[in-house]
Amino acid sequence: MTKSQSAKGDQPPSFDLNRDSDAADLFAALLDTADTGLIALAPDGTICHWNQWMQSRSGKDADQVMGKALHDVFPDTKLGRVSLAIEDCLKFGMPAVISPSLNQGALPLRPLPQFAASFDRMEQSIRVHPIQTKRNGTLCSLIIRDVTLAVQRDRLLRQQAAELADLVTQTKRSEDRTRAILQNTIDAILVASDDGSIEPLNSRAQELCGPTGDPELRNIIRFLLPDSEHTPLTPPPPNRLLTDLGTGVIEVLASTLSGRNVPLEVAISHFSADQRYHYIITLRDISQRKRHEKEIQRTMQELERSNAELEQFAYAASHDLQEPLRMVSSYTQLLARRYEGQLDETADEFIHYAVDGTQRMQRMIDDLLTLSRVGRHGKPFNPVPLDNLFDAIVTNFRRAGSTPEGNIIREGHLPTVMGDASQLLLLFQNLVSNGLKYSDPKNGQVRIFASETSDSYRIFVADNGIGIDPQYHETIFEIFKRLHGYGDYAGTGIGLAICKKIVDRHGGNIDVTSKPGQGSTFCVELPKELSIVAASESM
Amino acid sequence: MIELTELEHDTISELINIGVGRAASSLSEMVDQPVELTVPAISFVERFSDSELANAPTEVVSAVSQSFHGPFTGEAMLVFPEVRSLELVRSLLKVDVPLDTLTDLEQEALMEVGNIILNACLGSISNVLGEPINCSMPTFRKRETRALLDDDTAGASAATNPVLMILHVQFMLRQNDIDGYVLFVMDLESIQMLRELVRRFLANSLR
Repeated sequence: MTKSQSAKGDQPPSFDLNRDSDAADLFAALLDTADTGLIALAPDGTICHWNQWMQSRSGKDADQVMGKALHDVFPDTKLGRVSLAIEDCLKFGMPAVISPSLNQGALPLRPLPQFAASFDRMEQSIRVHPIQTKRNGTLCSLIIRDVTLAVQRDRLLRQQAAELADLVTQTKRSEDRTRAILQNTIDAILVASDDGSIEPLNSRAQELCGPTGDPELRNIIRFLLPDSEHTPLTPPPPNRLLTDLGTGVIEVLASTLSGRNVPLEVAISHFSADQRYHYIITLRDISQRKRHEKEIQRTMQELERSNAELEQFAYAASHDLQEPLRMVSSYTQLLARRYEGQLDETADEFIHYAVDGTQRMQRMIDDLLTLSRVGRHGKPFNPVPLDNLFDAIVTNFRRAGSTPEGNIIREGHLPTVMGDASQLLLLFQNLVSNGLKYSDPKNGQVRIFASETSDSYRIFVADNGIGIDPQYHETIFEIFKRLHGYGDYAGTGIGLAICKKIVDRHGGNIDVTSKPGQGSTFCVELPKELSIVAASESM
Repeated sequence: MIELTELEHDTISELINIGVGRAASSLSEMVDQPVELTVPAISFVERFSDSELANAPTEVVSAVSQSFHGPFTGEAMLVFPEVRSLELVRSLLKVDVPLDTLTDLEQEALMEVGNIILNACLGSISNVLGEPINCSMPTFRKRETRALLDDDTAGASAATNPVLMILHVQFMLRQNDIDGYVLFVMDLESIQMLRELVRRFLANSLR
């Protein structure tokens, strides 16, 4: 101002603020080019200035609003914060801040097009100033800034913060859960990295590898890991590896400083993280299982021993019984031959009973010997074509002349099974013989057929005889079980027991389906693959 | 020492309470929830260090301040511990997701709250005493309590040792109560003028 005044005398300045018109031009231009809304109100509250910004954002030209009160231009501001602030400003000279957060869209102004989708109104930050003038008293100015962008950013920030907080909560929850699972799992879990470090992941692992655990365990684990080239290893003491490393199941013995020996099953899996290879080592306490295994082993041995003893006893008993029996048998037969007809009829009858009794006893002893031999004198298993086997059976029956022609019928082809040929012959001969025995001698018929499941062959021997009451289906396979008197059907009551023993030795199963009067069907099921027990027995 | 009779003290207290009452009702309307404001205590101290606020000198406070000119001159301030100011703004704005510090928009909202309260107090005094007071636009500051009155632009209070009229204000909101302070920082001359005006007012009204 001072400078322009001093320059005034020499040369008229092109622009002089002291000239009213120049000042008016400048201020009008300044107000109109401002990037804020500017409104001036006269002491009576009527609008006396409305800049270009206000015109474009409100859609109301200056001509339309000049001389009107603000609440006439925007009726919904009548009782609001803006009107009160204007009143306080004009009456008491109080300035006011009107913030967007506490007053959403204080004036009904249009947001810029880019915000129109999310905002109905422009968000505004308004300053209400008293302006003291010499001539006109107190005026009031409103300066309006568009803060829609800031409000949008704030919303976005909060939304992101909320999402982040949610994510953190979720992650935390899932982490807590994972940790709880890990901690409460019964197995010890450790993670090993390819640098040779081994870290216990749960309390059980800590127990085994911690200060009171087994100091050797980490070394054993390192030894077991597939890739352990980085660190030189000393093999663990042989008594600490319970199973051969080749079998896939790894069992080790942990010997803790607290004095416990814990057999552990080790499972190793791997994963890659941070471009490194890690192993997860799971150690399962198998003390219980080991105890059971020992128990089973002991029982098995005990059983084998007592079985062998029993067979030995049966064999010895029947073998030794034969000697005196032969004596009785020979002399009673001698008696029968020499003295038949010389004594009275009753004596002949008695002698006949005695001979018959010794013969029955001889058969029983023979059968008992056969039964005991099934376990004791088994031959190694070989492929046995059952078709040939049944050919032999039919021939045997025909040679004995015990059956009419054509009453043993084979339906279809029979499989080849693994087994002891002589025992299988005995087995099926017994079944066929039984079938014929309990049928009408003239019309008796035995049918033989086979079927196959995924892991076994089934051979059926069906007759059209008298049948068996279901209540005896289980017990007929027991030794000395007879359902009929000796007079009705001959036999020792050992035949089916022998059958069952043979089938057992082959790892198979025998059962019967039958109804009285409707015949019986015996089913022998033999496995295609021999079980370990049967295979070892067949050696 | 500022000597006020009980009646003068009560009168100032009454004027202030009228002011904050008005402020509370406009705030309630703006935030669409009940807001009550009371001034349970007014005290005068000659040194800021004597005030209750100065007990925690390193606590960070948020303050909205407006200077005023008139028959008495000085600076009025609404002061909250920063944590309380966050609580206040967020209860008023019903914010769902709080952030760690005041955002720009929250700061401006706090400025508006301060502006409404300070305007109301000053307006009430000015109105009743019949003397116009000019106020500046509010400004916001955040700093440790001990530096609260430093480098102020309100020359009067900075030049001499200021005297403080301290109002303890209590916001009662739906969820919680929030305590803050309104400080009137004036020089001795101004405070004597205030007392003089109060006496004159009493004399007029008791006549």
